[in-house]
Amino acid sequence: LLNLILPAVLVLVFLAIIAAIILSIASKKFKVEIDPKIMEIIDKLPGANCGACGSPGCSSFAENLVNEDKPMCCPVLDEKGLLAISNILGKGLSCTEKQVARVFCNGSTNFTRTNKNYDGIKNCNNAKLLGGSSKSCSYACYGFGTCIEVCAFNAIKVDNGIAVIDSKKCVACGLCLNSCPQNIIKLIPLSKKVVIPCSSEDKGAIAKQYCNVSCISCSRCVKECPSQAISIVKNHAVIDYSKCTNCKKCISVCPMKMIKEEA
Amino acid sequence: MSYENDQGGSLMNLLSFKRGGIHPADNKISSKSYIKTIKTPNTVNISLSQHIGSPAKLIVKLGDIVKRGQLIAEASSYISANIHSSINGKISKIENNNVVIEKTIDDTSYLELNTENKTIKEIVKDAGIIGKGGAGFPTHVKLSPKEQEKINTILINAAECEPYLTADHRLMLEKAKELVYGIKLILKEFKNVPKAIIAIENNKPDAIALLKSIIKNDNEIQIAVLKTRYPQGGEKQLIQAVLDLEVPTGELPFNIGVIVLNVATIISIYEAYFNKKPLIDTLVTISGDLIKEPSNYLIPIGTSIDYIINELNIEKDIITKIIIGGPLMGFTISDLNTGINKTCSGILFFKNKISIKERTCINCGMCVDVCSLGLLPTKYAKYSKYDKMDEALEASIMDCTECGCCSYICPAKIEIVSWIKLLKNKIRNLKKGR
Repeated sequence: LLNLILPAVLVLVFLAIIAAIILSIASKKFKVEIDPKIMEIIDKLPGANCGACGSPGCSSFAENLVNEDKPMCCPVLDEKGLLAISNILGKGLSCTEKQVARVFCNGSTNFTRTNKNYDGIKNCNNAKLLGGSSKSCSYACYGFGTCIEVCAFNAIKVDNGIAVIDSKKCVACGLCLNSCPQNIIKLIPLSKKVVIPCSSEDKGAIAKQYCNVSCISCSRCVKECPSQAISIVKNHAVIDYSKCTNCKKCISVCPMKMIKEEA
Repeated sequence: MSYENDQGGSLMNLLSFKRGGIHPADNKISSKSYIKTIKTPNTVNISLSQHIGSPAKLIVKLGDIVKRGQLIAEASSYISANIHSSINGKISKIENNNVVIEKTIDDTSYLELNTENKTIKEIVKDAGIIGKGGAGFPTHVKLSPKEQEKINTILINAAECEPYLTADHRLMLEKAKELVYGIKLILKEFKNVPKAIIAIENNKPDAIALLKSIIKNDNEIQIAVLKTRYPQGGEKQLIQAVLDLEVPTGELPFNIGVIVLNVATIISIYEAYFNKKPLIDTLVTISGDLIKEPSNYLIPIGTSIDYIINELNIEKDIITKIIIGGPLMGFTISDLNTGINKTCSGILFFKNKISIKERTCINCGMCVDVCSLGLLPTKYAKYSKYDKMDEALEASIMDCTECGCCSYICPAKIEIVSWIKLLKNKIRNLKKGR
């Protein structure tokens, strides 16, 4: 037995020594200089590689931060994280207002009628190719959750046939915006709480037929709004968030009771 | 090489593609009923992109009066096709590539094409003829390959392997002479092609017998009898079955010297040449378990499904599924106002809803076994679920002809073809974007 084991062990030890020598020489010779700041910043970044900053990933964002003068921001970071990175860099990060993604449709299966019979695979893009899900309204959320798959922060769930975004978990990276074939997810400032969750481009009477919580473009919120922030675009009311003051007057006048105040 | 086979001969002699394939119940319940016509609809909804390639360019305005057979949109590029009005009427609506025409005079005659001093190719182009097999490739493009000398065979696709569909079968029985004349027209155009081969599946013995009796002493046309097996009528599969050739990846049949034409396409060419009729009517099999008398109807293009339902007294309330095309390659529709296209060869109405619940893939490999192209459907379905485009491209997903064998056979009821179509669509959009 020893005759078998001994030579094997010796050979392996010999190989290991040679490999160790080669590796140690290589690590000295081909050493890559990395700015220690970059490593520190990478530690502070969320590490989801979501791409919301415009860089392909967190490490390349950190490199850009250190090497370039252009002001950049990671929209995912909270205030603590921003402060920590500013301290490392010795300069402030220029961040715009914190945003959040919202689904501009309220047509859960409780409210929206179904007149079609979608039998295909449970995928929003496929539903779009085949001309819509079972829901009557052709602008509604299909509710198959293609947005869930792209969300790196686990902030979206489908409830009663409609995507719901958890504003506490959402970091406004914007990946779900592009994944939605209906284009009904939009980024709005986190501080603005009033949402008119309808994207129907059908005329009021038809939209009402299809859905109990549709915007029927009656314009009452437009008239009520003290800061002229609401307008009717393509048969549904849209809030201009640069003007909205969170007064919530529109909520009470809506005859469809569909204007929501988000948490 | 002889392609002659007797019906009584052993099954081993029948031609077929080499691997894969399925045997769905063929349900050709409408094959015994004669071709019928329906009353001209009051409105038609004609799409401008009924063919592969760029949509046709509209040449009429809102409110114009058009005659049946009048050109309303012309081919906008090389791969595109003319479109003619299918009724006498007034253009009442034009929106996103759709033209709605309202009927003024009920008349089944049509404005004749000007065929004086024109070659067959020009007539085919003028008549707006496209491949009726399903994909809708403009026929005039097919008839003008880059190197015409290289073409050595013309294959007539009469396999009609999709269940339920019988339109081509009826055409062969009722317009057999026209079919033969049509083939001769094509052969006249291709002078160095010695013969054309009509490929028919052996589930149509009456058509085989009739065609044989007509072309008895003709050396130019031969009949190849094929085994009944899906997807025998796919272009690539048909070439493999009859000629034992394979179409290379990403290439078209004319690269290996073959032109494949459908029976209905040949009849359209015949009608354009001899009757000067543009492609304004299409023969449609109306079948399914909801139809009391399944039959074949000659229907003007653009007729809405809703009109057909009313005209044939189909009980609207109990329809659960309407499929345009065959059950394997067709697609379900949800909007009853959809007008039928030139490529439409069947409309199937079903009342029994089979709800299928997708389960997890068990890696049994049955889809790989039935794939007639030797592809890996199970892999594509998974790639599609997780958006792995590069991997799918490397596994040559674009070669898939979406014949539907894999979805049919899958024991886990995964709609593999839907997933593949989805990913192919994404890849195509991405390429367009670049």
